[in-house]
Amino acid sequence: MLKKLLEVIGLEPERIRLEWISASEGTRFAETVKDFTETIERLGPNPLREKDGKIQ
Amino acid sequence: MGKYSEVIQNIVAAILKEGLVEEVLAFVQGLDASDIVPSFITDEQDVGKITTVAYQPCSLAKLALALWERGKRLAIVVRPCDARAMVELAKRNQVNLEDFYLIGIECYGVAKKPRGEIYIFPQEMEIEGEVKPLDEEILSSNCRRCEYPIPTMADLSYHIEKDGNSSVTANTEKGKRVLSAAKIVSQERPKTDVTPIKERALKRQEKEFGELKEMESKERLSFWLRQFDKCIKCYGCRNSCPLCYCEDCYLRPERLLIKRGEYPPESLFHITRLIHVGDSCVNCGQCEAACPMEIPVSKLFHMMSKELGLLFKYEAGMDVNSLPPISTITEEDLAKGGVELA
Repeated sequence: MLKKLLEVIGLEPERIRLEWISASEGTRFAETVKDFTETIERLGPNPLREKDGKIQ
Repeated sequence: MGKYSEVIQNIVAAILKEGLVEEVLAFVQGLDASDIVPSFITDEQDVGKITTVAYQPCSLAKLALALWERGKRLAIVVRPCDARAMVELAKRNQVNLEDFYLIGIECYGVAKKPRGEIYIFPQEMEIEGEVKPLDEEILSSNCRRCEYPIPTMADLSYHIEKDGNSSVTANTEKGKRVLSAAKIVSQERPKTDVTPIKERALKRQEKEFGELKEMESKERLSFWLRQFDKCIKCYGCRNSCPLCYCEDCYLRPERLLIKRGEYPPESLFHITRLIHVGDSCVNCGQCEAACPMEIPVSKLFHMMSKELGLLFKYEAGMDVNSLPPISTITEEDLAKGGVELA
């Protein structure tokens, strides 16, 4: 639902990700975080973020 | 008032007389046919004021929710969108449908502004006694997108044609009780085909939502942000929405999400409302009608509820037994495209 909301309003739905990883899956955790960080870096900062108190 | 309201007036008079309900909530005519006001009616002498003019200044479901005491019996003369709102509220445990008799009237749209004696039919409209081909421009924008002219979810559906011929169908046991009190025989709904209406609505949705969907996501975002920038934070959309029922609203300044005295409010104002009522929106259009800044809010909410409906095969307000997607979501649903959480 959150993903659809972002899509309807015009944000990239890839900005949200939920993943279940067990404590024993260290490598998978690292990979997931790396992957997600890359996605977010590619998408850039949140366009809704306030700049100088004004929304851009 | 008028030839199209007589049957409804008779039904209301009968159920008040028989003591089936304590009060009836309906729109009545004030000073003239452009002055339509909601009213609780307790005396059968007053039923003559009830009107079915195609104009809806507020949501009756909202009034029933806000003003009605649990356990007392109330009948409401509803259009399909208000009937759907009542069903949605019942699902969310805000009202008990057992307390309510929903007298549904078939509705092919209501006028954007009061226009005197106006009645809308599938292809024609009647203004002050004069029948003309339907001009969609005078309809409220949400009505142009509406696919549900028949109040199948109400206890009764009242069908009327432009020659004044009418029929009433009981959809539930409660509906049958009402009709037997009014000594009216329940009739099968005449087999007029509603597919063209549905198709017209879907085409309209395709056009309006398509324009937005075609935009790049950045373009779409800036479109909505520009719209939200017009907001003067009058809380009109929240206050008129029948599905905005939280007693402790998250948008109150005390909750610290929305800053006091800041205009326009952060876009989170609208986004919060969208996530709260997006899945239950019945496209009644009251938010947009209330908005003094003409932000196309109902378009945004309708689009959201349609998108969710496609994903979860859910239509808000149609069936009291089909629960909101968020409470019935299964592993299978999660595996569907578009919902993937991974």
